[in-house]
Formats: sequence, C-alpha cells, structure tokens
Amino acid sequence: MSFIEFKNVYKRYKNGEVVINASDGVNFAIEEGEFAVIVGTSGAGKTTVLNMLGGIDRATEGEIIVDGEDIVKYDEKKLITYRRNNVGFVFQFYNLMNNLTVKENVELSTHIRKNGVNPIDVLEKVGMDSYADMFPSQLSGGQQQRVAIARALAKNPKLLLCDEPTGALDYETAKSVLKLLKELSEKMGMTVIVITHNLAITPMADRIIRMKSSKVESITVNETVVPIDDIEW
Amino acid sequence: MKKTLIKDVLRQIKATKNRFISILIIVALGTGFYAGLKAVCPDMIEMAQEYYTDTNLMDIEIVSTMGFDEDDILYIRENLSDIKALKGGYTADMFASRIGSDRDYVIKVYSIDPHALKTDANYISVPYVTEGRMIEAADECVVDIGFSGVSDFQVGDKIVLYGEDGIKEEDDSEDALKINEFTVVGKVSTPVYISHERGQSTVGSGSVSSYIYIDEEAFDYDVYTNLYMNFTASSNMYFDDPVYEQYIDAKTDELERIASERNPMRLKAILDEAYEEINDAQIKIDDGYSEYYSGKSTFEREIRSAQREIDRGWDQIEEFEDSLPELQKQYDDGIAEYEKGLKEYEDGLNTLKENEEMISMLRTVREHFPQIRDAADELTKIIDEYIEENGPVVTDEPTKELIRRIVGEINSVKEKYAGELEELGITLPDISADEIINDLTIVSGITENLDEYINEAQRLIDETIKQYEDGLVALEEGKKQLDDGKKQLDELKSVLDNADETISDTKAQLRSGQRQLDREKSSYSKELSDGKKELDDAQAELNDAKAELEDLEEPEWYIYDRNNNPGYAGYVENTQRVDRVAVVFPVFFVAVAMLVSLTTMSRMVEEQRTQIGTLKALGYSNMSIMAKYIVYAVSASVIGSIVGMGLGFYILPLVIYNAYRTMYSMPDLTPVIYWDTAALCMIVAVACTALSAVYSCNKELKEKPASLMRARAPKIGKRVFLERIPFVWNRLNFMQKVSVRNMLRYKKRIAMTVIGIAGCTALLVAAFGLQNSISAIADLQYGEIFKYNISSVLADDFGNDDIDGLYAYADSIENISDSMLVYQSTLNASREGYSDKEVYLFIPQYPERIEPFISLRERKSREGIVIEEGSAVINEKLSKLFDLDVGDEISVRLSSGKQISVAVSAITENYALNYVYMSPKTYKSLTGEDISYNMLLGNLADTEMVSDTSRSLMENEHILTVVNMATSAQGTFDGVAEKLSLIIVVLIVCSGLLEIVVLYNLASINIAERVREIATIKVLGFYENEVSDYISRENVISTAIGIICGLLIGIPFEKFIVSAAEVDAVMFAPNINFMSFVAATMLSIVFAWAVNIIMYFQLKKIPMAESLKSVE
Repeated sequence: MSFIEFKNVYKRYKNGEVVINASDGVNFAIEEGEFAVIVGTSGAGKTTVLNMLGGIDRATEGEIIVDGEDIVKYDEKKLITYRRNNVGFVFQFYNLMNNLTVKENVELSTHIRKNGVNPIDVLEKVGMDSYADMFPSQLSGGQQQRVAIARALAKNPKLLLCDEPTGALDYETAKSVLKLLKELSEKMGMTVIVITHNLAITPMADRIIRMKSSKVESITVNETVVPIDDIEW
Repeated sequence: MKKTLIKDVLRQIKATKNRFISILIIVALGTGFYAGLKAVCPDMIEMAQEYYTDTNLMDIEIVSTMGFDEDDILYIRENLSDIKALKGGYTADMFASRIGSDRDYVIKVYSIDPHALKTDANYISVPYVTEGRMIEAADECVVDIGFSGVSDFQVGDKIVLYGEDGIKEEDDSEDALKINEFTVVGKVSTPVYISHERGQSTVGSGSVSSYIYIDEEAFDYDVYTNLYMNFTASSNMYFDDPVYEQYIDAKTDELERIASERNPMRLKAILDEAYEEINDAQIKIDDGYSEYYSGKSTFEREIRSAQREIDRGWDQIEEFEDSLPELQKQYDDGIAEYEKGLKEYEDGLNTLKENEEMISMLRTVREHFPQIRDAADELTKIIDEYIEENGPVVTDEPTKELIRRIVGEINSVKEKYAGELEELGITLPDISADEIINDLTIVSGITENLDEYINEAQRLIDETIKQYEDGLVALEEGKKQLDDGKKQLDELKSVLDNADETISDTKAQLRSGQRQLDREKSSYSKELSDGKKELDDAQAELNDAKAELEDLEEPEWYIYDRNNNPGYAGYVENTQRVDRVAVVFPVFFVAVAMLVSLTTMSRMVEEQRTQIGTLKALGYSNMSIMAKYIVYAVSASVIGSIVGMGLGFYILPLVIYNAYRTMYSMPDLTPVIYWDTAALCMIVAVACTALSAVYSCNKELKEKPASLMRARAPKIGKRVFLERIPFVWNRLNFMQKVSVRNMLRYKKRIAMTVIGIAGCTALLVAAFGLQNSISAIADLQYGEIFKYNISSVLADDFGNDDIDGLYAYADSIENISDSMLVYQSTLNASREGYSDKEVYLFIPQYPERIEPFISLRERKSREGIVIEEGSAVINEKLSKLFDLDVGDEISVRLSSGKQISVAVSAITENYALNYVYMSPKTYKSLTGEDISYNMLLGNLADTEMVSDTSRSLMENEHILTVVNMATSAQGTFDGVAEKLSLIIVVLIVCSGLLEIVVLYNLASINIAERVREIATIKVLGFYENEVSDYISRENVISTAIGIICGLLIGIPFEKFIVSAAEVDAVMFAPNINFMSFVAATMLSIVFAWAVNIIMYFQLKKIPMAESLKSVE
C-alpha cells in the first residue's frame, strides 16, 4: 500500500441548484519520501486535492489514505490533530505572522507539536538561522518562503504540502526554494507534494500527477529526475 | 448616482450589519444617556412648575403674632398691588391619634374651605386627593398621603385631635377646634409639602410627622392665623427663574412696609377693644364685690338672729327646768285649794237645796198672786158693779154668801201661807166678810191693801227666789272656776309629767338647730370665700391682663415665601445634581462612540482599499468616494441617536424621577423631548462618526490609485520594549510573547478595549457602590451610631422637677437597661452665603454618658468625640453643607426665634439627618434658659420585648409615645434602596451594553483583519480553543487591565455620583465596600466572557481556505 492514496475522491459544492464537482473521482497514490508534483491549469482541482490531503477540506466521497489511515473518516478534532502532527503546509504567500520574528514564526509550530524540532536547527536547515530575530517584513520573498518552510518542517511532519510555493517569487528565488524542497525530500526522506501550474518544473519531481477538470489526467513516475539547477523556464 | 450610492450603502450595511449595529448602539447609548440625563432637570422643573401652577401654590404666606382680622386683610388688599388671590386660613399644631390606637403624632392641622376649593379656580395651594375624596362636612378630614410613615390613618378611620399639652381628653382641643373627632375621608398630597420633610413644631418632639386638612368651620379661632396670597404676574413666571425670586422679594418688601403701617393700627384696635372689655369686666367684678359684701352682711345678720333664737331656746328650757319644783308646788297648792273650793261648793249647794222646798212653795205662791189679784180685781169689779146697782150694803143673801165664800177663800189661803208669809215678814190684813157686806166700799180699801201686800210679798218672794237663784249661780260659777282651775292643774300635771321628755326633745332640737346653723354658716362662708376668691382671681387676672396690655407690643408679621415650604428649596438643587451627572456620562460615551466608529470605519475603508483605488483611478472625486462611508457612518449615528434619545428622553427621567420620589411627593412626570438637546446630540453624534469616516477615508485617499490597488504593506513587525528587558522577556512563554506583540501591534484597539471596559466597570462599581452606600446607611446609622433602642417622647408639661420620678419609673421597668433624658428639637441652622438647613438640636442631659446611646466618633479614625462645654459637635454632612470646620461657628435659630451661634468643636460620623450636639450647660450659657427635656432615650436588655416595654412606658403620664428605633429606621430607608435599584438596573444594562458593544466590535474587527492569520494557525493545526486563545488572549489581558482601571476610576466616579445624588438630610456611606468591587469585576468578566463565546463561534466559522487566498 502506498503512503498516500486517493481512492475515488469526490468533492462537491452545492451552489444553489448547481452542484460543482471540485474533485470528480480523483485517484492517485504517492509513495513515502517522494517529491511529487501536481500540475494543472487554474481550476483543474489541484488545490482541492491538496486541501483534502492537508486536512483543510473534507472529501465528500471516497477514501484518502495517509500512512494507512483514511482521513476522510476523521472527525473534526482528529483532523486537526492530523494536521498538527503530520502535515507541514507551505503557502503561496508564505502566511508568516508579520509581527512575530522569524524564530517566533517557527515557534508557532513547535509550540503545538510536542515532537517538534528545535526552531534554530530548522532555520539552519533552510539557511535562515542568521535571520532568526528579524521580522518577516525585513526579509525578501524567498527568505520569507524559507521561513515558511522552516515553520512547516519544525513540526517534523510526515508530509510537506506546498501550494504554489514559488508563485510569488522571482525566477531565481523560485529555483532556490524548489531546490530546498527537493533537498529536504532527498536528505530527510520527507514526502513533499508541490502544487504548481508550472509544467517546467515537472522534470525534477519523482512523480508527476497531471490534473484537468477536477480529475487526474495522468500519473507519471519520473525515472530520470533532473536537478533543479538544470531546469530552466 | 444617488440611487447607486444608496444601494451601495445599503449593501454595505447588510454586509457589515454587526459593525453598523455596533456604531448604532454606541451612539444610542451616548446620546440616550446624555439626552435622558439632560432631560431630567427640565422635566422635573417643568413638572413642578405645572404642579405649582395647577395647584396655585401660594407665593407668600404671612403669619402674625396676633393673627389677622378682616381689617388686616382689607388693608393688604387695598395697599398691595397685583394680588390674584388672598385668603386667610387657620393652622394649629396638635396631637392626633387614631381611635383605637395608642400612638400619638404631632401633626399640623390646616383649614380648608371645601366650597371655595370646588368653585374658586384661584384657590391657593390646592391639595389634591390621591385616595378617597375631599371633605364635605365639618367632622371630616383628609390626611397626608402618608409619606413619612404615618400610614396609621386610613380612609374610614376616626381620629382624635387634641391640644398642645398632649393630654388626651375629649374636650381638650376646645381652644383651637369646635369639634375634635374627625373621620378620614381621603388622602391628599399638597404642593406645600413636596418632600418627606414635614417641618417643625412647637409641640411634642418638635417635628411634625404629618399634616391634615379639616373644614375651616371646625376651627374656633376669632382671627385667621395665616394669610396666603398669589400674584397675577408671578403666575406666569417659572419658579426657578431669578425673576420670580426678585418679584417675590419686592412683594415681601412691600408687605413689610404694609406691616409697619398696619400693625400700629391693629395694636390700637386691639388695645381699645381690650380696654373696653377690661372696663366691662372691672364693672362686673366691682358689682360682684358689692354683691359679695352685701351678701356677706345679710348672711352674718341672719346667722346672728338664728343663733340668738337658739340661745333663747336654751335659756327657756333651762328656765323651765329650773321652774319645775315651783310648778310642782303650785300644782300641789292648787289641788288643795281646789279640793277646798269643791267642798265649799258642795256645802253651799247643800244649803241651797235645804231652802229648795220653801222656794218652790214661794214660787207656787207667787204663781197664785195673779189669781189673788184677779180675784180681788174681780171682786172689786163685782163690788163696784154691785155698789152701783145696790148701794154699798149688800142686802141680798146670795151676794152675802158669795162674799163670805170669797172672803173665806182668801182667808183660807191666808191662813195656809200665814207661816211662810210671816216668816217673810208679811202680814196680810184680816178681812171680815161681814164688814164687807156691810160696806162694800171697804173692799176697795181692802183690795188696795191687798195689792200692796201682794206686791210687797211678791217683791219679797222675788227677792228671796232671786237670792236663792243667785246663790245657785254663784255656786255654779264657783264650780266652773274650780273646774277651770282643775283643768289648769291637770294641764300643769301633764306638763310636769312630760317635763323630762320635753326638756330632752327641746334640747335635741336646739342642738340639731345649732348644727344646722353651723353647717349653713360654714357652707355659706365657703361659698362666700369661694366667691371672694373668684372675684380676687378675676381681679388679679384682670390686673394681669391690664399689665399685659400695657406690655403689649405691636403685632409682628412673619412673611414667608415658598422657600419656607419644607423641601421646596432643595428641589431645584436636586434636579441640578442630575444635570451635573449628565455631563460626565456623555463625555465618556462620546469618546467611546468615536473610538468605535473610528476603528470600524478605518477597518471598512481598509477592506475596500482596492475598490477605492479603482474608483479613484476611474476618476471619481475624493468626495464622491467618501460619500458612501460618510453616509454609512451618518446613518448609523442618526438611527442610533434617534433610538437612543427616544429611549433616553423617556426612560431616564422616569427612572431617576422615580428614585427622587423617595424624597418627593409630587405628581407623575411626563417626559418631554427637548429638541435643542436632541439636535445637539444628533449633531455631535453625526459629527463624530462622519469625522471618523472622513478621517479613515482620507488616510487611504491620500495614496495614489496605483498604490491603493496594491495590497497595503503589512504592518511591520517591531521590537517591543519588553524585548529590551531580557529578564522579563525570557521568562515569558511563547504564547505570552505572541500576546504581548499582538497587543502592542493594535495599540488603538487595546486602548479602546481598556477604555470601554474601564468605563463599564467604573459604572458598575458606581452602581453597586451607590446601592451599598445607601443600604449601608440604615445599619450604620441605627446600628453603630444611634445605638439606643427606643425613644420616648415626653409631654410638654414635663418639667424638670419630674426628672427623678421619670428616671425612677424607667428604672422600674425591668427591660430598660439604661436611659437618658435628652432635648431634641428641629431647627433651622444657617450660615452666611448658604441656604438654611434643617437640623436637630440634640442636648443629652449627661453628655459624658452619651456613648451607650449615641456613638459620637470621627468617621475615618473612629476616635470617640466628647461634647465639650461651650461648643457644639456637628455631623459630617452638615459640616460639608456649610463648609464648616472645627473652630468655625454655626448659627441655629431656636423656636423662640432667637439666634444662637456656637463654635464647632468636633465633627461626628452620621448618615441620616443633621445634628448639632451640645451640653445643657452650653445651651444655658447661650440662651440663658434651662433646657427642658422632651425625650427619654432607652436601651433594652431584650429587644424582642420592645412592644411590652413601650406599653409600660406609655403608662407614665409624661410619656406621649414611644418610638421603636428598629422599625422607624426601617421605615425611613426601606423604600430608598428599592427604588434606587431601578437606577442600578439601568446602569448595569447600559454598562453591559457598552462593554459588549465595544468588545464585540473590536473583536469582530480584529478577526476580520486577522482572518488570514487565523486561517493559517488553523492550518498549522491549532485546536479550536487554542485558536480562540490565540486571538482572545489579548482581549483577556486588556479586559483585565480595563477592569483594574475601571475599579480605580470607579472610586472617584462613585464619589462624584454620590455627591451629585445626595440630599441634604442624608450622607451616603462614603466607602465602597469590597463586594461592590467584586460584583463589578464579576459582571465585567461575564460580559467579556459573553463576547468571547460569540467570538469563539465566529472563529470556528472562518474557513482555512482563507489562508490560501492571495493577498488582495
């Protein structure tokens, strides 16, 4: 059994009389330690999948197995606990607390996670330890995203979910952030799932899941992973 | 455009209805409070004005030392201008008690003219009936509505009024009233007494507990005791307008002038009349004296003669007693004589009876004499005839024979009585028939002789018979005399026989006569001396009256205006107090309202930054962009102020007036909307919110459209000052640090929260503190300060001679453990520049022993106070009212009118009413008079037995009534706290609303602004309560700070409200008790907690997907 499995997952919204299928029978699997990329155009249903996987949203139907447990069956509390302990989330706009220092932003995670990692260690890992006492506003976008990644990692999660992590970043910075994520996956064996509309980065992924119209269009396991430095777009 | 604008605004309101309502409520609270409180004063003034106008409350009342007669009234009418109504009336201070009840009350009795009341629209000071009906008959009365605890008199009760000496006798009220029993037919309220004060009295305890109206017909005065008047001009003036005061002052001056003119005339009239009366009386007395003297002499004369008679009686009886032996002797002699006479008589009778035969013979003889004479005559005739026929010689035999026979017959008779005749000395001549025959002529000689003889014989016989008969008569006469004598003797005998009885009877009679005389004498002389005494008294009285008349001074008029009515002057002051409070609340509420609308508008403008930027880019003017927000803010404040003022104008005046009604007896209040206040409120509210909208918009509009289109640069994180203190900072855990950072990030909001909650808490502290201050009074005043259990009011005739007896009596009642006489009197205290205050002058007989009865102490230090000689101790409130300090002087006007001033030596704790304590010696040195005590304080061993003890006390002739302090204290303060609780409810509701609105508004803005942050931490896996904590921890801290600030602010705030709400007669307990703080804190926490619960659910609703949205 795979580390992550989506089995016939549906997500339906009712908007008046119209029922919108945000996920229309999604099926895929991701193995532990993989660097997976979910790609698709806007509105293809990538974010819905990520939200359901991250415990932010609930599936209407189907099974989402994470490390052997179906999180669709979780109640609210269990779902929070799942997020708390197992999921690290990296947002497109970093979502750092502006009035907290870098270290404190990381501490938000360690505060709620007993088995968390020392914030400074995590910051070191993302190369931001020297910025620990600075405020987000004093950092560049890439640095902020590194801090956000550090915050996600500090919980020592089972999987790291990244929603367009480079969406707000310039090319070079985006590259460095992607490199960091790739490294984390490789060095720490972290399962990293990245959502992006940028097809260009797919060669660096272990697994590429293509989505279209709320469905999985194709799943490709990349046998020849290209290092990010070699990728250009 | 306009339509679009309106649509846009409406949509905005719908989208942010909570914020809209927040602004609305806060504006409503601010304007409502201000308008409501501002309306109280004019509402109450207006109500009072209407009341005074409707009831024609007198403008001026005059009392004269000699009353007013019709001439006085006429004089005033003629000399005083602008009189609308002028009416005389009677008043009297009397005692009253319900039939069947032991309790006496000092009451003021007023006259009323029920007819005029009905018909005269200008009737002065009309009392209005609150229960039952107005009097219709002279034996009916209407009583005080029962404001000061005299609920003893109910409609249908019969009450007795009696006089000033306090002795309940049926006819005691004679001097003042014609009748003294009245049936209560109704209860009234009068504009003269608007407060619970009932003024002062010269009888009983010195304070009037109630008033009563009776028909003026029931009064028995010759002159009016009071004059009341209203003026035409003043009826159009507001009573609190200085113009009115000036007008009345002018009228008072005029009246004083009139008094100085009129009073000498009145005195003269009185003197003239009095002297006339005195003269009449003198004449009567003089008549009385002369009557007395004449009566006296007549009496003495009569007595003397009666005495003489009795004395004579005694003489006689003694004489009689003395003559008894003599009488006995007389009697004995008489009897002897009588017996002798009787014998003589019987002898005489016997003698006469012996001659009886001869006499009867003589009688027979005498009877025969006519026969003889006739025979002789016949013979003579015959003879003569014969002689004529035959010559003198008888020749014929027959005649001879006849002559012989006749002669023979004569001779035989002669023979027959020859002896007797002889014995009588008669010798009849011898007749010889022959000679006759021979010469008849001799016969005639013979017959003539015979006649002579017969005559002689007859004479002799007659004489003899007469002698005999005379003898017989004489004897009978003698007999009769004897019989008479005998009878007299018999009488004498009976007299003698009854003599003893007669003597003792007579003596007894004499003695009783003497007694009666003595009795009569003494009774009569008593009557006389009584009469004399009466006359002397009358004379003395008359002399006194004369002397008095000589000393008689001009009558004096006391001219009072309405300020003399109890409670009148304080009323305006009290309404102004509310006005003062009115200022504080709105300032506070307006500040909060501004802050609320400012944050709300800022947030809203910020949220619509992009839209504003777009509009600006499209070329809209700043004004047209701003219009939406201004309209939004203005409509919230307009609706809010309409709602707020609508409620405020109605509810607050009613609630506050209702609380004031614990002190005032006046009609219901009709709330009025004051458009100027309303307009002011509206303008301020609209200006505040509009300005905050403009301010918020301006901040954004200053930026270029391009930058507006971009997301606003997030607030830059900053070092906080605490970080620079590692000692503190390092000790904080992560969440605490986060909270500190957050709080310092939103300083404005935190400040608002603190202000809002501090305000709310301060309000609550004030509310609870106020309630406690008031409810604590009764316990403090009647538990700690006035410790005596009962006070007995003494009758006016209680003299200081009876002191020992009264103490002995009190000591004899087992339950009374201690007692002391005091003098207490309600008086007016004054100080230059301050209005007069009603105070109790309180003089304990032994000031050094006052402690068991009344605790005199300094409030803060609790140190005991001694009543020193030569100075007075006053209570704290009085010292505040007059700004008096130790060493200052206070003036008190005694009931005699005399003004005394005394230095204040100490200020004592006291809560209810105002007191001036001094020692009897001080009083004497100030007034020159000895104090006469009028109250006996008592402490009881067993307070449960108070009614038994009271009953025992009341049996004493000096004790009029006994007041149980426990119940009377209850009565005084029961209503107050109850009615204030409504104010407290209003305060709690308002402060709760304030806190909730402020907290809710801030919290919801906080959430709206931090929705991304919240979504993020949710995604991070914060549990719901952790999320809630994360957000509300700041609120909790700022609430805590707010509460602490509020508690601190609450102290002066409560003091301020207390000072504004306090009346002259009461000092609220100045310390706020701990429980008030606790209660205020708890309630504040409850409100904050309620908001947090709402927030919790709002937080729960925030979708985590928000965290994924791009920054707008």
